[in-house]
Amino acid sequence: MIREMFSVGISGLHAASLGTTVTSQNLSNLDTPGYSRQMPVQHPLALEAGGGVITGSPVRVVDDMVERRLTEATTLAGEASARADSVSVLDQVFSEMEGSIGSALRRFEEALAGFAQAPSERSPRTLLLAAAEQVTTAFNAAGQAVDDARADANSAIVREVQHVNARLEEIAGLNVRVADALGSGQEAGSLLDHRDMLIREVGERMPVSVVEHDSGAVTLMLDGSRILVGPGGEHRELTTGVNGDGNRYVIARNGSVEEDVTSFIDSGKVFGYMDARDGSLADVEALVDELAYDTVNAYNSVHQAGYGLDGSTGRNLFIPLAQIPGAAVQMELSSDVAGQPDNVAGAQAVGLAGDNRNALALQEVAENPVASGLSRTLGEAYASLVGVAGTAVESANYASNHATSALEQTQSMRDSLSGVSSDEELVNLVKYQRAYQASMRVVQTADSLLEELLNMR
Amino acid sequence: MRVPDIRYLQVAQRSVEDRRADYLQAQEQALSGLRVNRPSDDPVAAARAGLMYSEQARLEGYGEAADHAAMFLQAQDDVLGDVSTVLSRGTEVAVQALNGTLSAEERTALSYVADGLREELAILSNRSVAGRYIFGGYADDAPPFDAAGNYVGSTDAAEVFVGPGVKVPMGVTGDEVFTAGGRTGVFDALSNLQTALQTNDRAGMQDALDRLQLAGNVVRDRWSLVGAYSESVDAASALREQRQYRVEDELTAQVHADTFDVFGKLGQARSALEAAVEIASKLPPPGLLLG
Repeated sequence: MIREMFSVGISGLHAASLGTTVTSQNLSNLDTPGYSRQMPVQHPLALEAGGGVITGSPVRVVDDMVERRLTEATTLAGEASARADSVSVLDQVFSEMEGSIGSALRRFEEALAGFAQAPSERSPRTLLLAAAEQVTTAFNAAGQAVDDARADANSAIVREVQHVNARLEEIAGLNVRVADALGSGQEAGSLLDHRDMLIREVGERMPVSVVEHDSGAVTLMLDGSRILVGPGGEHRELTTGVNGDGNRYVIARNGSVEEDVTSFIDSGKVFGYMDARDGSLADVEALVDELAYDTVNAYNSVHQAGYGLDGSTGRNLFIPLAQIPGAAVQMELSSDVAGQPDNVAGAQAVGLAGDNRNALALQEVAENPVASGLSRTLGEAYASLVGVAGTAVESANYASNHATSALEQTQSMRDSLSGVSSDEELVNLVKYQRAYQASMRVVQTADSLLEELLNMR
Repeated sequence: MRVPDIRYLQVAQRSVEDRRADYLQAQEQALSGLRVNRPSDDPVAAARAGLMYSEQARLEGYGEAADHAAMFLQAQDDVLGDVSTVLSRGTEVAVQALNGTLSAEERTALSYVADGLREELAILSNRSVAGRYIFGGYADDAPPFDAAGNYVGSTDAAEVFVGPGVKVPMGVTGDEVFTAGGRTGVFDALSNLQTALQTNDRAGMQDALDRLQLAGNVVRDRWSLVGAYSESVDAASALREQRQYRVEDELTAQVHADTFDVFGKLGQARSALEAAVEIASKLPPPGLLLG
């Protein structure tokens, strides 16, 4: 009986000791992101079998459904933040400030009004050319800024895919280590936490789903249809290619076999960047180009009909543009007039310095529907462009805030289950301390009983 | 509900970040005086404001053109007044010459007066403002009348926009004033008067008188036209100013910030930020760990 008491007491000491170790581990990871609190596993052993407590490997307190939701929420938040990040440049480009297209067009209109008042004077002509130059600079800057934003989105796609690639390799490695650890009965909590963190990092960038295997390894799939990481440590390498438009797309490589998997990426940061690039940014770029194209054509057609002080006619104010795509970046003052104020065509007849009829016609361009398929004035087209750009940024910011809130709520749900509460752990620490003391008393009692038995004469 | 320690930090951090963003926005509005500082603040208002800014600039352009036109019209008004006076004086000379008998010396003296009046008229007809000849029409870069009194300017007067779709001529052309009426004009009338006085040609004096009276009527008629143009400029300016007020009102409604509202929000945002920072600074909350 004394032997059993010793055995039972020692098993209790082991259980309490494990409890304090697990609690200490939890407390030491109080602020570790992604850490899942652990619980000791213990079962009673029947008295017939010797009694006491059996301890097992500590378990992570996680809910697979919550983990899956967290990955999904991370994917959506990643997509929304990438989109908001990409389109935010539109706010700067189309704000009412010095150097904006709106400001330059207004200054140009004012200069045309001044030119119409005194076409025979050199100063209004010089001012007009300076204002026209500002218009081209403003269009160049806006077109370049939107173009750069699209190029930045492409760079971000490359960066994020490289990030995903590195994580896939780590996850594949962890798959092997987890299976080995669990197969040999070792605790694998920290490995599982690390793998979950890495899966969420991949999930932040593209839609992934996880299939768990009995070995503890997981299969990581892209959009539920393309295997990225297999359970045996194998993984596909992701890379990017460049299509005919100069845009990046995503390739999954398996040995020498390559597959374009872009169509499977329909959420996450990578999708957010692609969507901003091909959606809002492309739309705004097309509108800026169209406005630049319409501006050039509208003023050129009137200018060509007029006469300069030198008697010349048929000259352009801006260099004619062959096509709408790229018009904003290519917009430039014509060499017909650049640096030659006398060549600006303000007259409708030769030899009359004060003839301002063509100057008035140029002034009237701003009032006529010459833009957007002859349906809007240039000012209305620009205002519409500002509205489109503002709405794109506003919508992206709203979606990003909403997705971030949803992520926080899911994170909160996950933390309330798997996070560490110091109060709870301290209570557990006291509990295991007491349990240890109690088991120690059992051992002491058994020891004293044995001593009395040995001293019996 | 279990509350893990890491949540305290996350919630406090998010709360402080949100309050700082609110404060920054209120501060930006207070500093700029604008409710809409970028298109995403209110895309509809930003687009509308773009149109308003355009119209505002265009109206200012019309205003400058109206001022410019008014300056030229005023100059013509002054000159036409002087021309009218010259012609009246010429008429007086002709009447004086036709009435009663004048000695040869008196007629010669009057012929000098007629010559002086012609010279004065030649100066008035080639008057320029800011280097531009006000009676030259489109040809405003050279004197519109040559030494012989022939009109070499343009027969069209330059116009300017003084309102949306409203064009007003910047005056009348020299040919309308000085050579109109189907006769050779005021210069010849005064030359003929001078010659008639020198030769004691009463018929010539009478003819010159007729011409001067006719020219006087033409000048007064053109003078009235210049006055009418000035009134058109004034009327357009009045309409433009009304529109400018309305545009300013709409801009105020669309993008300008209400001062009391903005400073109220600024105070509110500051208090909320202070409270969030105060709470965050007391982390972690009381618990067994601190006990």
